[in-house]
Amino acid sequence: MKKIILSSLILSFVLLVSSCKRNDDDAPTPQDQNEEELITTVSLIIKENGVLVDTFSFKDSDGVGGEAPTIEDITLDANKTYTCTLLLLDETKNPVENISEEIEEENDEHQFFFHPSAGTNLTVNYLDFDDNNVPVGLETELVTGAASSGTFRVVLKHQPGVKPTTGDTGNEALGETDVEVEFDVTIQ
Amino acid sequence: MYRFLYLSVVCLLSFCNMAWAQKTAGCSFEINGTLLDHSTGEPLSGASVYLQERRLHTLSDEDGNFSFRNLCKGSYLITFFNIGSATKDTLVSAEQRKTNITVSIPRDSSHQDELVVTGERHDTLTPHASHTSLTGINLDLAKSTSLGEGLKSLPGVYAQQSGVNTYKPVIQGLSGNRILIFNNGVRQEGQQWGTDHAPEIDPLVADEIQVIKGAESVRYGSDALGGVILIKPAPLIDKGLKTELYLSGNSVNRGGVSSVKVDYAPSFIRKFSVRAQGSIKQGGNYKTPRYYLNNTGIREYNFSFAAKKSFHRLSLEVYYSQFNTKTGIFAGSHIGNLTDVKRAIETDEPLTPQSFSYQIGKPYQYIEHELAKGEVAYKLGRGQRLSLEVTRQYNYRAEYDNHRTASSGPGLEFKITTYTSTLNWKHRISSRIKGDAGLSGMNQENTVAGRIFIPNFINNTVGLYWIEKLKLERWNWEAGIRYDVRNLKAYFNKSGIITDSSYQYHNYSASLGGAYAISNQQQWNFLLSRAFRSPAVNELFSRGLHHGVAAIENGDGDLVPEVAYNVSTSYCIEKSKLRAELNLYANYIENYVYLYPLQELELTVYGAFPSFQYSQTNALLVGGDLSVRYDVLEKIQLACKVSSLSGEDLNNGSPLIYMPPTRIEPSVTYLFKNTRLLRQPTVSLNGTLMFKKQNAPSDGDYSPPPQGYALLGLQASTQVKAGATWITTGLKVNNMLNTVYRDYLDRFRYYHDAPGIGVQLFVKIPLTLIH
Repeated sequence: MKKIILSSLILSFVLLVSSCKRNDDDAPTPQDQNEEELITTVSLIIKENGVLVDTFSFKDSDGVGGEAPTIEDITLDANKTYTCTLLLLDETKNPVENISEEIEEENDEHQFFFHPSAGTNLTVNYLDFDDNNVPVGLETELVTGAASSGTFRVVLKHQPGVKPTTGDTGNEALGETDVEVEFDVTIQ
Repeated sequence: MYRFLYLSVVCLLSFCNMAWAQKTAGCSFEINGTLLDHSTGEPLSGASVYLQERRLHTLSDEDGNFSFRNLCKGSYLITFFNIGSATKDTLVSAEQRKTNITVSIPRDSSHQDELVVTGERHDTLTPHASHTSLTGINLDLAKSTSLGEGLKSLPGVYAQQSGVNTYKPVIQGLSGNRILIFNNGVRQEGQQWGTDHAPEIDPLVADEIQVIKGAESVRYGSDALGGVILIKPAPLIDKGLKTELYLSGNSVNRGGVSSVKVDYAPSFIRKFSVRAQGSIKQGGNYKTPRYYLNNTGIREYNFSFAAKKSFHRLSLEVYYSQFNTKTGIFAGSHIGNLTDVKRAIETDEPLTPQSFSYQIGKPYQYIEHELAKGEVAYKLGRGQRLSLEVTRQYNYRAEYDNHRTASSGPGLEFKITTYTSTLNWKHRISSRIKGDAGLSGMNQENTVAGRIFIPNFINNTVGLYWIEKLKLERWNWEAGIRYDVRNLKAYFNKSGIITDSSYQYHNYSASLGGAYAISNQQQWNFLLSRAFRSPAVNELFSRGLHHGVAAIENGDGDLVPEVAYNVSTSYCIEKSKLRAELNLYANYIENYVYLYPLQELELTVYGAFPSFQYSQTNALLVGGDLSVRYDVLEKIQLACKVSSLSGEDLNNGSPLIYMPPTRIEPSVTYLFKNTRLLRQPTVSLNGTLMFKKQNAPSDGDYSPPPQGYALLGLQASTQVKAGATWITTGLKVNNMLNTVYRDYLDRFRYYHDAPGIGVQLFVKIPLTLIH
């Protein structure tokens, strides 16, 4: 009797331990730190009447921490109307991943917001809209006024489930921030 | 702070005066006794011993011993009671100067829970750091919340919160890696380092939760600079078949908990018992006085099994438990950069419309914790016992957030597997000296996927310890020493190139404690201890953005272990009308690891973030906890608990961040008469006064400490006779006045108010199916 109990106890313990949840990953072979999705680059592609004028980029090629990002200054001519296409890339991947495409696919969850600083004669108009006719901001129109200078802040909000479905402005207060970069801008 | 210390000292002195004034009886007879569990023959500790004629009350110590001194010659009726045991009256005649008795108490299911009254109790003459427990009604009420939240009601214990569902215990100002939690004797190994990582333990397994305050590293292992929390399940039964059903509900989140426990000891197998237990918990969005908190639901299911078989000398025990939870995180907190945090702080209410729901969306945490344990013990005779414990733990943590990730999987995933084994030799050198010595080892492997915040690592530790206790007439002494070695190897992969770094830490812990019986109603004890803690993986290697707290944290691979020098002393008195305990402590920590705020914001594509660097300084924490209960009239008890401390960064001459503010908790309790159908009906009204945190450093915090607050609560409980069994039921109203407040130690105070009024109700139905 004793032996039966003893062996059944040992057996049940062995069974319990062997039915345990397991970690199949191996500590000495860690995942590549670059596997996670990053946004390393935010480029403003500026065109005038369909002709490329210039591109201005924010680049942080090693992600958060490490090297400081490089930011190009934006220079635009006064009293002109440009179109601006935003290109978001993950340049740590090979091939480079185009994040703008993903945003385009999920355009009802994303919106860009643009903030020229006070005194900068720059107006931004949305050119692209999601299925609910709420702006997205991958394509915009930049209208410059008289010569001036200041900063230009670009914000991308990820708003799954909370992006407004009506109105033509969106709501910047909602969701999580995926991008927030600031450029120096000169209109001359 | 100084005023508090001064008041405490005055208070202590006045107690002593009262105590000495009482000591008028000139008799010098003594009754000494030992309490044993009738069925196992093991000593019964913590049992209540009451000497009727003199209205003296004491508790048996961990060896089952108790004593009454300064008695006159004569006969005395002594009543013994213990949780899960029958009450026993014994007539003892003190004819000689010293009378020794041995009493064994049988277990009795129908009396289970009978004498569990309130929160704390302490064994007599334990030369340890001060300790306090959550038992009985208070534990039953805490079981409908979470472990950390329930422990907050104990003096000297606080909680660091990340919203309404995530509570990390804080003991005398220290938390996280500086506190050890033992679940049924096994050191909990999860991802303790994160401020938003709550202990992965189901409070429903516990029959008692004990908190040991102070650096008790020798006994429990390195790292315990702040204290130790012991989750103790009830002992397995030795005959019959019993079940216990527990149901509770909480109106604040429309949540509920149900749990079933089955205990069985078949009559046809000698000394064999088993237990199965399981619980389910579900809750929806919390309600604050002004709005709901979106996405704060919780879903949890847990279960455990235990079995024990004893032979003449040998005993075998196995235990298995699993904890699974999906916890919603208030969506407004996972927002992004400094601009967003500032916007949230500036707005009084959450920006998105809030409503009630049981839905849990992103962001949320999904956690599993699995524990398996086997123990073999062999009695060598003459008080010697050899035991070997082997354990395995697996902890899985997945964090889902709303940030853009390539797949729909978790943004962050941790898997940690831990094996431990402990060999302990309990021995007795003489009738006065006994102790424990042993060897323990651990192997731990951690892997990370997703956003890399900490690296993969393998951690191996070995510890060697020796503790001896000396028992004298009025003194009990304990001295111990421990040596730990830790090997840590971390692995990194950058674009396919794998590198590793190895670290080795070794150091010793030591302690000396004494307990002195001033009289049989008063005791004084002290503990001097040294403990150390090796730097944790996040402190060494974390690199990157901590989304939950909107900060960039940088580890430092050159950190050295923290060493704590702790002095604590406590005085306690237990008289028929008065029970009080005062605990004072000072904890000096050399190379205290903390997050040093760097002055410049770090620029990233997500915006600008404050950046922190793990650094070291020397810190001093000084404080005191007081708890007093006084019976004004036979039926009315007044009680008050006070906790206060100050934490100082000595190198920089500045206060430490996130130290709990001073707290005062007065209460008044009315005890109704027992009737044929009701047992121990009580009602109490309690207050919580939380002071505003003074001199909190502003660096590293996005907003100044919130205002102090006062909360009112109500609690009522009783046992109701239903056939052959007694059902325990209790009700608690939290934040009765629906006060709007925010707590300094809640990281989510930037985003929302604390919960409003909530009614908790529980019933516990024990059923004996076979006697």
